[in-house]
Amino acid sequence: MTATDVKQRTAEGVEPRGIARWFSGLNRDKLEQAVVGYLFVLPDLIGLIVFMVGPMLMALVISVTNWKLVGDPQFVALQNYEALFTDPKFGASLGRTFLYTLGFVPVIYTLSLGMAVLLTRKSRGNTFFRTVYFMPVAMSLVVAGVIWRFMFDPSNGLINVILSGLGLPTSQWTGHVQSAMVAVLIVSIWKGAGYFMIILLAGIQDIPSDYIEAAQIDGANRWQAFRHIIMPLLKPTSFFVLVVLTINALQAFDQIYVMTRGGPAYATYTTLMYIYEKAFREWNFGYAAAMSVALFAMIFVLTVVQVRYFRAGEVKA
Amino acid sequence: MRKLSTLMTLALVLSFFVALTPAQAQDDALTFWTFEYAEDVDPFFEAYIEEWNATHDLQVVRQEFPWAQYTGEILTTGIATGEAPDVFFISPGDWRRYAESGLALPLEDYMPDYLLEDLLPASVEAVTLDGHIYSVPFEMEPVALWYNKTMLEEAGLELPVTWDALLAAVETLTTSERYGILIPTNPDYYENFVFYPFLWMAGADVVNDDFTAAAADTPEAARALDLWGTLVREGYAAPTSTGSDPTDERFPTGQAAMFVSGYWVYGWIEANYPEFLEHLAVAPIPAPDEGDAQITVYGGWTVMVYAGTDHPAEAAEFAINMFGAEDNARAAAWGIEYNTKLSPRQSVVADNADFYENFPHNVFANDIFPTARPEPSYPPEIAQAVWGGASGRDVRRGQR
Amino acid sequence: MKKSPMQLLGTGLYYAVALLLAVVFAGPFVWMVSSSLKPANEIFSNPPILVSDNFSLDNYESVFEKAPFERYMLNSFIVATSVTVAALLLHSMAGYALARLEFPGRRVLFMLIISTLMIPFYTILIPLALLVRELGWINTYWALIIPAIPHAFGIFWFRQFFLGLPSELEDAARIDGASRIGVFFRIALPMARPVAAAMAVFFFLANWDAFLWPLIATTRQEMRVVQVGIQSFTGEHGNAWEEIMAASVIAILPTLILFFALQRFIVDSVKMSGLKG
Repeated sequence: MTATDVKQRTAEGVEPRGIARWFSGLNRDKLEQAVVGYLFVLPDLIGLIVFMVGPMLMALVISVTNWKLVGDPQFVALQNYEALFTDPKFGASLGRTFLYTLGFVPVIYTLSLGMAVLLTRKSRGNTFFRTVYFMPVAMSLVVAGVIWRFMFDPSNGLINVILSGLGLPTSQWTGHVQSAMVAVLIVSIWKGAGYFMIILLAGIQDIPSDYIEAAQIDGANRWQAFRHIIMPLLKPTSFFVLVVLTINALQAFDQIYVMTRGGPAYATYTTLMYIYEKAFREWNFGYAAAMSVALFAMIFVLTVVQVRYFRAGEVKA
Repeated sequence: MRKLSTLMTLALVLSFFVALTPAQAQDDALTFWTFEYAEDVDPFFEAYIEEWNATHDLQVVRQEFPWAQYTGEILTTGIATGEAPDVFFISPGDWRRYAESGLALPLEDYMPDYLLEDLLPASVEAVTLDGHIYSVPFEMEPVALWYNKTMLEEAGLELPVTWDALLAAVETLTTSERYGILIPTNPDYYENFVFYPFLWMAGADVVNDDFTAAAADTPEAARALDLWGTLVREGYAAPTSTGSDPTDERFPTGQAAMFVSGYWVYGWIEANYPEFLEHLAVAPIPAPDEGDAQITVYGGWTVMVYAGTDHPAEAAEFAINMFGAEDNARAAAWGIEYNTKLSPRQSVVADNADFYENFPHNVFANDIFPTARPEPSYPPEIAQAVWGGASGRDVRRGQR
Repeated sequence: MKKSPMQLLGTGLYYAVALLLAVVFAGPFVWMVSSSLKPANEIFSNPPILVSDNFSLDNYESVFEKAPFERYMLNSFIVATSVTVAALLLHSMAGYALARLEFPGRRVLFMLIISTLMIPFYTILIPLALLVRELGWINTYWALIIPAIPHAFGIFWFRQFFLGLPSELEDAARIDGASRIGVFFRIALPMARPVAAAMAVFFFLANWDAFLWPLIATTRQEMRVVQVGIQSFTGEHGNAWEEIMAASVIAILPTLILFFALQRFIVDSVKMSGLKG
């Protein structure tokens, strides 16, 4: 355990800073690491730069123009960005996107972790349950959308029928501004939990069973083993899952669009929907690009906060 | 694991061989884009293109794309990357943007006189901007009030002809397992389309004649919004959609008594719910008060020619002849055989009088169509403002 | 082995929770399969019909009759398999380098790579389409395969995995004189099997289910992929739900089979016997 911590610390925390320090202690091993390191990263890096970073830089350029698909774009400096600050629709869409993220990330993380822990042991039953929990992940969104809309129907939908059968209050679900967000959250969580369960499951396998056995010999019960062995050692995976979940949530579009198209009365209208509408319906590509860049910047800042938090947590652990 | 990796390697090798085979060189041809029609509509295009290709050197290639992405992602990206088609179908909702940005080839010089005389003046006006005709209208789908006559009879109800009567009727018809009426719920162009008749009958409009100010902010418009708001607020109308708004499955499965939707509903029910036909009836949408004029809307796509085409004359000829040939047989077949749509060519109804004597075509041709206005084409910002309010749920929230 | 009452209670609770979740997760799947076997007019009936007297395979037949669905499946298979194989190799290498090897600029590169996850696809759709058109890849497999391979998700995940993996075995091999590349391929990569298996499922799934990009990158019917094929059953006024359901059942099978086949590797614990922390 100590070895792992030390390893993680050297990998994440105490790193020579700056190229100068790297050169100062240059030796054969360092050189080999650098050569192999770049060799290993390069193919992916080139691909990402060509197919992601390049197009994104182009979007950055578009964001300072008034490009409208037809005609020559004109340079408008920061006008699009200035307009963002006074656009109530943009602000409101951001608010809803953050609300969605707040509702989505903690719940789906807890649920997937619970499912992963529940199904860690190898057994035939677990193989079955894992496959079942994975089913929604593989289901097409169009089909999932129509089935859930049918189940959410306020009058004959299965969910209200069950709720009223149990004597519980029913809801208008996607039909009402106040419940629509809850309904789309339920569907998003249902659709994605199996996916993150697998990631966490693979992460749990990564933890040598000796550690858990050793702890149990020392008299730790299951909860203690989970709390003090699994959780700390799962940290790299948890970090990964939380970062990916947050980014996904802030870019939510498809799963909500098939349920509500942003309605009713814009109750589930996310920033990405607004970007889509500005670009592909209004051809206001400059403004859409500016929104994209702004959203990108916000996600970036949030991710840096997450990176910092996890690094800080590691040193304390 | 080893077997699997062998298999994967094999697949990889195979895929690269396939990938290396060069794509067939694209000859100089006219490209023609539509959204994806059902399989049984395809022969219509196939026959016309075959006929064209047999008689013209410049060949036509048709490509179809999924409905939901056709005007958004597909056409937009095509124009942006310079891959725009020469001839394409365009929706009323997008028409204005294309016409205003100079993407559409003016067609008035190519339109034969017989066609201009045959086409309904309103349908030509709907595709005209600043004196130029920017597309060819070929179909009309009016909106009406479909209802389940068995349910109305069982409830002892007369067909409502005023909004008060409509509200009273849907109140009676709504039960714990049944909606009184279905109206569109997804905030989108389609919701606007179905809402326009209500807005117009109340005496309001979306914008004034020169598009300078929103005319929707009037007591008349509020009355139409309030009707839709009441329908949803009181639980008479479903607040959500299930399968799709234009063909809501809850109507033919007995989960709703009335359904505001278009002419196509008949073809859809005939194909999928034949057992429901005996309950099906249709009437014009009720007007606000006794004696008010009934007004409805008709939608329908039009065919446009890309202004940047290398072959303007051929592209225009291809586009116009598809539905505008001197012999109106193809224009008629489009609406009667392949779809449930009306033709904007007046000769079609006249030449197919037998067909238009039967239910429900008679109701549409005689009662509903004469009151129909073409779907207006607004800039996206205005369209969004309409569906933002039309949901009626906005109204409900406002009243709290 | 006799169980104590507490253990029995625990087992009972475990099954109760697992089953309840299973109903929620599998319910819509059952509904989909049932709908795919029914005529159109029974899909939305009330009360819902789960097992119909009119069950038949007609919808499946018409999926293949109305569209060259087998061709779509071949295309998707070629794309998904190629991307998966290439992605596993490249991302494990990149992830390993970022986790284990020290070289200048590593942290900056890592942030750059993660930041590509934050780019909304709609934002780069048109620039990417322009690029792929310039490359002459429209309507080729290249357009579907190559841009899909580089993906920060895979790199990031492998990096996190190697960060969490104790490095004793690798250190031992290093002391025995193995090269860095040798250590990666012979020691580290085999230990990454759980993650590699899970990632194979995810990359296959993501590319098998790819929709928007293939839709833009191909215009010819023979280059279409499965999800575009399914979308072609939606239409102007309504959707052919019975065919969409049948096509979706067909489309979900390869992924579920792959998952089922690979999941024993996902839950295969890393062999670390003999090593104590």
